[in-house]
Amino acid sequence: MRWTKTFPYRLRALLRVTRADAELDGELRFHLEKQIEANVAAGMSAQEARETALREFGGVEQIREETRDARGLNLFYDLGRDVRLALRQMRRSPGFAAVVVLSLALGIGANTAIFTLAHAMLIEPLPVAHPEQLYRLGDRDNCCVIGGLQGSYSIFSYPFYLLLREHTPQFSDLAAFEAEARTMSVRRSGSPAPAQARKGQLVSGNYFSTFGVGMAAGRGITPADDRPEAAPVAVMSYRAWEQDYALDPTIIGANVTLNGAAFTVVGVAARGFFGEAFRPQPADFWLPLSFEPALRGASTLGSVLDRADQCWLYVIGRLRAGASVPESQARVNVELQQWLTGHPEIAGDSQKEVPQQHIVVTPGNRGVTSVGNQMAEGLYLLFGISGLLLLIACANIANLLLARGIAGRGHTAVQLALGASRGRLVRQALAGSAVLAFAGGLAALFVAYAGTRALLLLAFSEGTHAPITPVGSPYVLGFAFALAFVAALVFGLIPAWLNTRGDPAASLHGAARTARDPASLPSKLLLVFQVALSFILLSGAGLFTATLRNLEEQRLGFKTHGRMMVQVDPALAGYSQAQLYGLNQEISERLGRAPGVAGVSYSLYSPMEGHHWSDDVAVEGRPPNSGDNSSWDRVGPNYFEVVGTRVLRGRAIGPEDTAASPRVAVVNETLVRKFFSGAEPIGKHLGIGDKSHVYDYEIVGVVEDAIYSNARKPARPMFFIPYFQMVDYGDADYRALQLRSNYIGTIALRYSGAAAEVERAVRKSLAEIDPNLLVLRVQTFDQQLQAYFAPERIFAGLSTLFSALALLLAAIGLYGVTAYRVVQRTSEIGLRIALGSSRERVLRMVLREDLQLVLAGIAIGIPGSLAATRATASFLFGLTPGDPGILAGAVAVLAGVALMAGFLPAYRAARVDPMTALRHE
Amino acid sequence: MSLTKGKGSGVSKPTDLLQGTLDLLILRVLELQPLHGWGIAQRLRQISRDVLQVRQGTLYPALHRLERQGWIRARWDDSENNRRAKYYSLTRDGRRYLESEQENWERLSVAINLVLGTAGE
Repeated sequence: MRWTKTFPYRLRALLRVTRADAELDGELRFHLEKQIEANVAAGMSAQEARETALREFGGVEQIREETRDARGLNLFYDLGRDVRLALRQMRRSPGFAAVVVLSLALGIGANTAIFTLAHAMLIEPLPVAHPEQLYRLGDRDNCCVIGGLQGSYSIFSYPFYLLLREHTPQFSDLAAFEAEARTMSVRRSGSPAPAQARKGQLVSGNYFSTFGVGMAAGRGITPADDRPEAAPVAVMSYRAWEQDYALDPTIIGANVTLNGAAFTVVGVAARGFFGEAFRPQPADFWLPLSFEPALRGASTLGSVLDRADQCWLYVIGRLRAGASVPESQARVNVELQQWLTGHPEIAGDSQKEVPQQHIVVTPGNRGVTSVGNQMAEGLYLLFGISGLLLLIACANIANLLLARGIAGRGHTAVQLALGASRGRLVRQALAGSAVLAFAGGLAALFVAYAGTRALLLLAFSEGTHAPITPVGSPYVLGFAFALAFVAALVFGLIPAWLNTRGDPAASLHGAARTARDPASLPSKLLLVFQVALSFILLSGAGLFTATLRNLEEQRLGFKTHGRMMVQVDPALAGYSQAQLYGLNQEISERLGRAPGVAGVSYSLYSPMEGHHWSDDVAVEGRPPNSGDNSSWDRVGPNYFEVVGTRVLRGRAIGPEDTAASPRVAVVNETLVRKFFSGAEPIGKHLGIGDKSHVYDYEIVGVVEDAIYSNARKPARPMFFIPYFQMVDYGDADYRALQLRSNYIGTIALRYSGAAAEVERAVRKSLAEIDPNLLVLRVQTFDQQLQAYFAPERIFAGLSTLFSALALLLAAIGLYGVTAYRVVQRTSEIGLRIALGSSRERVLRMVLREDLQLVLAGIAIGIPGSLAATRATASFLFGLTPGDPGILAGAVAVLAGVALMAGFLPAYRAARVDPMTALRHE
Repeated sequence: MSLTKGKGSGVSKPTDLLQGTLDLLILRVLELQPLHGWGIAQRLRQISRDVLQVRQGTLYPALHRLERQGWIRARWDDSENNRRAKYYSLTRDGRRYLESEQENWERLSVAINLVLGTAGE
């Protein structure tokens, strides 16, 4: 048989099943009429002829059925009928359908939401020409500016990049770009609006051509723009063009002021291009690398552009056709070795390690992926949690289907006895599952949509412009429905198989009387499996919730309630050192008068902002070369009071500490413990830098430890110094750093009343001081802390929500199985009661069996939980994966749920009237 | 499917041999001229002198199967007294298939006759 010849026929027949049926009917009618005519011709009366013909003809429906079979398209035709049947069944038991569709929607929806993020961060290639040709030099995330050796080199200096570009013929193009988009102050020249904080990224002149990025308007940055003497130009992202400039075409050629320097906008990048890496806050502007010095505003830190020892650029290249990765890797490593040998100042004292320095060439089709990698672990964990929920939902649905199949076993037996093939019945049952799964998949899209948005909000509390559209990509849709149908197979196949097994005759004789029920064991096993999975989820939820609580309730060393943090950057507004004292005074005065504000202070940075300044320090009384390192911060008067850190001994930094007064420092407990072995530090000295600086600052006070940068680690040694107290440094870097530290980073406020109103008043006051003063962020201290704990909150929240759902499903499953068992054993229970068994004993008996199932589940769940949660150890704080308290709690909760779910059927069993029961069936 | 022999009881178990045989008979009838289903049944009966009677429940599935296999094709046409009827005719493939199957059948029937003719002796 030639498939190509028969296919059109099959297709036509499939598309017009009803038409083919009509044709057949016509054919049969013709046959019948001919037969009648023939009968009449043979001498029968009209009536007789008709009756005889009909009798000989036999069952029309049967002929139709067999002809359809012969046409070979029954599979599709039956599918349609099976689906209609399944829809009818759904309408008949809406409760059942609701439980199935809802639990599937949640399971699939949660997985899809997480897949949406994972797809955007970890899977999707860059929206550029031929992403597969792109390769990155390096495999690490070494953001953002580092000196010294790196081992596996991943971030490079500008001079070395220029050298690489000239000496690697394997790459047709080699682009360099800043590791992170930086916050910049942006104003359209001539516009009265205050400066706004936007993200900008410095890129090499060949950045757009290397990646092959299209332009929505204007042109990209070219190598000719990337020269110090070139006119300053910028390319804008489509998003910025759309949101900040309403797609105004006159922006091309217009001037914008970035960090105080004028740039001409020459182009807008293609709509889908968000930069070469996944970032929650992608770049709004791209600028040529040569303008790095111009963007420093009044910052005192020197330019890194021409420094061979400062690495700040990631490099991605387009591999030339015919060039291999090993070949290019060998080439760049030769260059690296020569470079390091030629610049011994880079390695410094570590010359011995130079031969181990190397570059790994990695695929760059997704750009720089390390940014995603930080979140990848968290995403895998979320996948684990939502995957468990989906498995539990499937087990539960399988059990419900099994129970429903048992109830409908008589019906199945009739179908089997009437000659329906078992395969046909399994197919019918599977079609039912598929319909349920499809409905679940559709509902899951809504869950995924809401879930993705919620996840984005939770994960990036500042909001994100990352290119993630909920349920936006065909991959995500495909994922959801693929999951739905895998689920349908998983939960549909087992009950379909089991329910069509067995002897129809036995079933028809009354299945309830048979002592051994073929579906009873699988049903119990499914339940045990479900309980075990629920236990894993539940113990995970316990661990994450306890972790969040431990983190938040640890002694943080500051108070968040009624406090607000305002992050500013006066350097970008062009303030010089000489103007800073006046600015600080004005900020204190003006904000102090703002309505609702009860106290004002300021510092270089505040707790939980996610960064800190640290340096090698010299401490009085310490042996030389002890390698002491400490965090330090500049703070204004009243700082400790405003952030709620207690002063334990001595005094805080006050208004009397000025540039002219003796230099003082306040240290934290950990510094006292580490550098003074707990002895009284007041009156002793320390300084930033080598031992010549040991007497720079006199310690006048001790404050309690406060967590500044990492809540999972004990506090670091830390000290606080007043603004404008300066030390003479010979080293230019130290001089620049010291000057930079005189700029306010964060204004701390105590307030009362509505935060939104206080924020408005504060913004107004700051704009009155100077409209150019860039306000990066205003949030309450509570929000700042919450943002810091966002991942933990997601894990705890999601796992708790999902365990609650899992428990609900387990309860439904247990209730169903117990109720079924009780009905099955009605006569046995009646007999027991008739023979004198007390009703309490019956109650206990039923509940005991219930509990046995749950305990079996827990017995499997405990090792499962230990294995599963071991992978989460790095996410935990203050407890370990096998925490006995958490495990015991999970056992108790599950046992409690089991008792509750089993109680109603058990109670009903105990109320059985022996006479009725014995007459049962 | 059942191939009823004469006025006796139907053959209880259909076999591949029987199915193949019916196909062969239909193809052979259609080799002479295009015919509708009823005509095929009548012709089979006439040729076999009432020995072979094909039930509709067997005939139509067989016709549709043969059509699917590409050995016959169907076309609606006017019948004797202007009623529309579905006429089946042999395709080139069907003709070739019939020829090869006919040879097979003849070889087989000779062989069976030989066996039946000699087994008793």
